[in-house]
Amino acid sequence: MATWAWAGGGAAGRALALPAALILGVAAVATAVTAFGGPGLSEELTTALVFLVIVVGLYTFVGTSGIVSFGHMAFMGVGGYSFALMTVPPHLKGLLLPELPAALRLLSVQPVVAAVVAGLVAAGFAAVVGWPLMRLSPLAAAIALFAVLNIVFVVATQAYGITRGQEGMTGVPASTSEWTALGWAAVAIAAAYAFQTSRVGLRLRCAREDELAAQAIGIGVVLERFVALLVSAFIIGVGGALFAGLLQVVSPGAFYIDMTFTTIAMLVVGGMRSLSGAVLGTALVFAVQEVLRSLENGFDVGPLSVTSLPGLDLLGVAALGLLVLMARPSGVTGGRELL
Amino acid sequence: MISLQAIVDAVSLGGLYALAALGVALIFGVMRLINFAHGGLIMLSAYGLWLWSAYPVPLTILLTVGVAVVAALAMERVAFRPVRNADMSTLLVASFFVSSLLQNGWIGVYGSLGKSVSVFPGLLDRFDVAGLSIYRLDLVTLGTTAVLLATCSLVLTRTLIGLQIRAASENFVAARLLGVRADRVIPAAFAMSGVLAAPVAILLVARTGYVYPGIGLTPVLIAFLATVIGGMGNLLGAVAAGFVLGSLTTALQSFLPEAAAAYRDAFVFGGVLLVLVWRPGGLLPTKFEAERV
Amino acid sequence: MGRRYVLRQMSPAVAGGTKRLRVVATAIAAAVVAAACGGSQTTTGNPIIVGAVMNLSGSISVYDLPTLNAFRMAVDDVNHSGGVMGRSLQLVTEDMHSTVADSRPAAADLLGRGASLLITASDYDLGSPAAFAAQSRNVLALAAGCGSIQCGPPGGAPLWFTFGNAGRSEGAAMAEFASRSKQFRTAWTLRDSAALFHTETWKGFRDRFTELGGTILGSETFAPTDTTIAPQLSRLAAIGRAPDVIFLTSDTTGGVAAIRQLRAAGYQQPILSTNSFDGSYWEQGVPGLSNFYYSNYASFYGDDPSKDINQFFARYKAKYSLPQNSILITGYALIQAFKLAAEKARSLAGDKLTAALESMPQMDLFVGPTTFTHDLHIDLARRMVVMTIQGGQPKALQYWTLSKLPRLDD
Repeated sequence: MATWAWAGGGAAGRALALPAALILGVAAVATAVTAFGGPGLSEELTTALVFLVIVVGLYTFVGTSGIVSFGHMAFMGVGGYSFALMTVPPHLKGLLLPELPAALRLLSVQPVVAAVVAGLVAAGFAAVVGWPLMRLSPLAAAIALFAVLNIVFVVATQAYGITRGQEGMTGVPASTSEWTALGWAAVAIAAAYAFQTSRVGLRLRCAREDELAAQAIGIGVVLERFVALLVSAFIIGVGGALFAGLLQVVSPGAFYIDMTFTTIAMLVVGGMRSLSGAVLGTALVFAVQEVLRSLENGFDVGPLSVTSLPGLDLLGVAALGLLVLMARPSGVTGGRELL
Repeated sequence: MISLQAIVDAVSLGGLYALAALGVALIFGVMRLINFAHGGLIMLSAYGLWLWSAYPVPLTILLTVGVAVVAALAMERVAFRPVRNADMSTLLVASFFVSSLLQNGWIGVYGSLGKSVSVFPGLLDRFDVAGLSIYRLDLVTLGTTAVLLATCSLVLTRTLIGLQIRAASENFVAARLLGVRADRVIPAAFAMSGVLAAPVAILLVARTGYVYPGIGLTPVLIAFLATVIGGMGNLLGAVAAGFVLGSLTTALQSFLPEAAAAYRDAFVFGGVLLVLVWRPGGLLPTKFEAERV
Repeated sequence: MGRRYVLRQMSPAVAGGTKRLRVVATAIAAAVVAAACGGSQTTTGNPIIVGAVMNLSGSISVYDLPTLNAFRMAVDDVNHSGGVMGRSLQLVTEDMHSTVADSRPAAADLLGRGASLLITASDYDLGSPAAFAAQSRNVLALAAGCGSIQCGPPGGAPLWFTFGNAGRSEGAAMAEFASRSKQFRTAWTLRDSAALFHTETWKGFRDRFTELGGTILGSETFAPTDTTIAPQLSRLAAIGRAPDVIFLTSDTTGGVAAIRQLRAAGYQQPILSTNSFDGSYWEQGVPGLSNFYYSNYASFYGDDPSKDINQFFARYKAKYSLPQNSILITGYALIQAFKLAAEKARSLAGDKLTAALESMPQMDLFVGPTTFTHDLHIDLARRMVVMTIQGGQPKALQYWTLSKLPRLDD
């Protein structure tokens, strides 16, 4: 990247300003929270950063191709389960998954390497299932990916010998610290930016706006979408790995409708069409969610006392998402980058 | 006799899902919105049924349909009118949010445990015809689906509002230029979808006896898939696809060996994917979908 | 819970000379005796913090909220009778929203506030992150109603115990009931494919029923969201023989629909099931249900074989309202067991409490005499109450204790 800055001079320098600004901004917030917040806040910060990786991964496909994938959590799940299988200590795997083949049971990989491998496995899976789907119309592709998510969910809940089904796999060592998450968030932002400004990415974004016009100037869309799918699956697969290393447990329900809903809401609120939107949207929705969570146990408004309101955070996020769509459908950033 | 019996079983569930698909496809045709919140309409109807199950049958049905229609109209006015002109994906996401609002709103107020209720127990009477077991409920489901489909068809072809709905489905802008009021046509379509949601709830609850917040999720998921693989904008295609998906689910349950039966839904979704890949425009594609360069 | 001063003030009339010495000696002796009795209503300050990670919201809250009430009643009772090692118990809760992601942060919070006992969710998936967090700080973790043997050493958590009944045990108990008490010879089983608990219950039933000479005519699965079980019923009809008994294991969400359809299809045989069907809230879906039997923790209808349990539920109903599932008494039992363990170990360290719990067979708890071993932190052979529903009314029938441990290896 440094050589580009030299060679391209001012233009390239300005171009790199966006990812740099986003990364520095996120890092600044992270440092401030760690320095001044308590341990609880630190925990939430790490979670927010992991969500950032996931949403940036989602954006890399949704934002560039315009296809609102309802199935990306399948790739996140594949990444998460792969990471778990690689990092749960062998003796625990032996106890929890007695039918696991010895090769998998004895597998034990460093978390950072495991995260990369998890991303690659997710991308590989996306390559296999996604290739035939990329020539579908945007709505059909969205639904097809949703069907993929459902298939992965059913398999995850029933293939007990590998996944422990509904019970999930626990015992994943805690490997996602704030700094791990921050590091990967920076990588994700850089990768997403690199993709969207690459030739493939630019062609895809052009086709997103008007598929017919793009075809008229000779841009096929299928290959570009496929590349976007692979890159986004890698990033979101890593996100799944980070999620597993944070929660220390993977279960099918964690990679299904609720996660789909939350991450799409984050993308929508921020603005689906820009990377800045993905970052801002995650921060905003996460903050709203946490505030609402803390209110769930009841609060006082002057003389009124409101007792517990369970599910308030999901309600609030849904309401927020809807309001954004109604008032400003292109999201807080208006679909434009900050710089 | 098992294969004939399996067909009878399959057809019953197929009818139910065909009805759900009809409700979703109707809105899609007129607004390009796949209304995920249709499941919320089914949920509200089901709870209404629980509330009013003690009333005389015609009143219960009327109230249940009423609840669905009112909710559908409210949904249109509050949530979907402001985003009416957005693209299909945005509309889909919006309907996802509305669905979540309805379901979590309900859970917030009433909790997530369901309510059990026995309605129309006579529907579960079974009679044996030529060695096959047929439930009255199966016949009622098929009958209701056929009647509602025919009625919809009549409304769309023989009434003014129906004509306007069809015109709007073909080309919304042109229709408006010709004087079709969007604020009449779209609510009308939503009201119709409410009328279609209530019977789904009634038939579901009559069979299962249990009402819970997620009751509308499975039917709407199938309806969702059916609308796309049936050929977007094609009512008949969606109904047929809903029927096929429901029948496939039951048939797989009948025929899969015990070890694989739990994976049944994975096979159904796999089937959907195959159809989409083989015929991207859907089984019965409509004109508007195939744009040409 | 005020303090009572043990040392009495000397009466001014008793003064001077050897009499004073004798009085002082008596006073000191009295003080020593009173302190040694651990007497009633004498607790010192510095309470023992019991941290409970509860599902106060979300789908599991339906079970956890009543269990929380049981904890509260148990803690009050314990504190009124002298606390644990002279210290009162203080219950502190954190909501984990029925979401696995919130399990560990909630636990970390409670442990940070000095919890000496961590109560986890009654489910391996939901509870293990909290249990591992407690373990890493040598704090005892207890789950009230977890039915999985993995809440303990088999799940990598040697400091975790559960007071729930294993699925295998419930299934085996109903198999013994069917075979021995009712002499049923053939059975047909239908199970919910979504939750592992039901697969375990089914295996427990299948294994014990066949061991006792019974025949399973067929085994079917269904998903809780299925709206029809017609295909499963058709396969049952195709067997050609009517089973003596039907074994159904599922939650009420799909289970009510299944029972409704079974009866409507003409199958009036006895239906056997498990604790999932406790409570009357689901009975309107199958009005007037009869010939239904299920394994349970206790009866809250006033007819439990144990007087203590009936008294407990009378108190509970007066204070809260009708419970939905008797599993909440595992919450009471949990606190009872903690007190027993602490007073045996004379320590609050997790490993010492664990050793204590493993070394007290047949602990006298509300859920029945409970034994933990070094390898199993769940009692697989504890007695259950067999309930029946006749004419829509649940009734307690009898205790049932397994004649042998269920198989775990298939």
